[in-house]
Amino acid sequence: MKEGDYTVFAVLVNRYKQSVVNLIAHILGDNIDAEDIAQQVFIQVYRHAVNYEVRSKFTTWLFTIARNLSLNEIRRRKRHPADSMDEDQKGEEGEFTHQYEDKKMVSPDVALQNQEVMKQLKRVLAELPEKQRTALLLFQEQGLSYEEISQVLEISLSSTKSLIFRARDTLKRELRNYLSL
Amino acid sequence: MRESLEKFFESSRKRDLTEVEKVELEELLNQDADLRQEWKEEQALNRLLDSLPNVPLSEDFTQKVLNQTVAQKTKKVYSEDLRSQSETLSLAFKVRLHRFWGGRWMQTAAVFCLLFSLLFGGYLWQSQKFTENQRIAQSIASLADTADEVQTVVNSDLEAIYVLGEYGDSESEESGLDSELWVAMISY
Repeated sequence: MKEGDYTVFAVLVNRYKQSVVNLIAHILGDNIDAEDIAQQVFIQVYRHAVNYEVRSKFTTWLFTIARNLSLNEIRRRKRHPADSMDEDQKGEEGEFTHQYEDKKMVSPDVALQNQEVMKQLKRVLAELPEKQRTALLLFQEQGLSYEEISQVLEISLSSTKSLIFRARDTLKRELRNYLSL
Repeated sequence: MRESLEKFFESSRKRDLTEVEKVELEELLNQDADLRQEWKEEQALNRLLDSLPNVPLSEDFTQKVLNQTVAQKTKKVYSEDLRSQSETLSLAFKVRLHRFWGGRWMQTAAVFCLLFSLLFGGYLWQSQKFTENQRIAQSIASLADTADEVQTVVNSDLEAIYVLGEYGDSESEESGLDSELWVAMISY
């Protein structure tokens, strides 16, 4: 992508915006500022497009920027606990409570059960250490390979595998009652 | 058995299992009920993670990003223009200064030294003069105060002497004591 090529850039944004916002929301543990940070991610991508090394995969670079900006936001929140980038949206929407999508018609009981399972999954995910959570989501949700995840997290391949294993182990242990349903 | 199951876990996380792998897996799971339970949990967790819903995103997200990108680029161009203007002005000033002095830095330094010496000397002279005037004024003031006191004493003493003189004339001219007092008063 060359600087000034807005059409190509718009295609990139459209293709990856959902993945980036999802990852940011999971790292932060809520979706209050996820969209604002995602915008900053793409602006950074545009500004530093000339620095992009074609050797690495674009998504690796993109998710690295997304993670770094998310960690900056976490640090900012720790410094100013009562301050959010978009305080007005706080409340029920703020707690990463997007609804479970029922693609099929299900009974109210099943729907309620699904909601409960999803709620518990989000809780356990949020309680995982940041690196474990990010590694697991990059692997599971974004489909990155171990090598790519190790590049994003700047750790070794074996550490990456270990993080994902431990994250899955914790999830299985905490959600055992729901997984065997 | 455990290692084989781990391999199937790994493969199933990356892709769908082939028909051959499915058969092998089924044979493995038939040997141990615990392994079958583990496999079920693994698959359930995969499904659960895959069903994580998307975060809601505003419809004009891409447009917002493009607008901000354009705004930042415009701002960058504007700041570069400003910097360029400022550099031009700075250069023009330097050229003018160079023309004025013609690069004669020794002369410039000498003029500055002379000016500084003059200013500093003037300051010293003024401050010394001020101190001298202040000292004279203080001396005059203290002298005036002393003169006032002496005048008061002299006037009162003269009155006493006058009274004593009258007394001495009328009562006892032969009194030695009074004469001594008189002499003492006069000498004072």
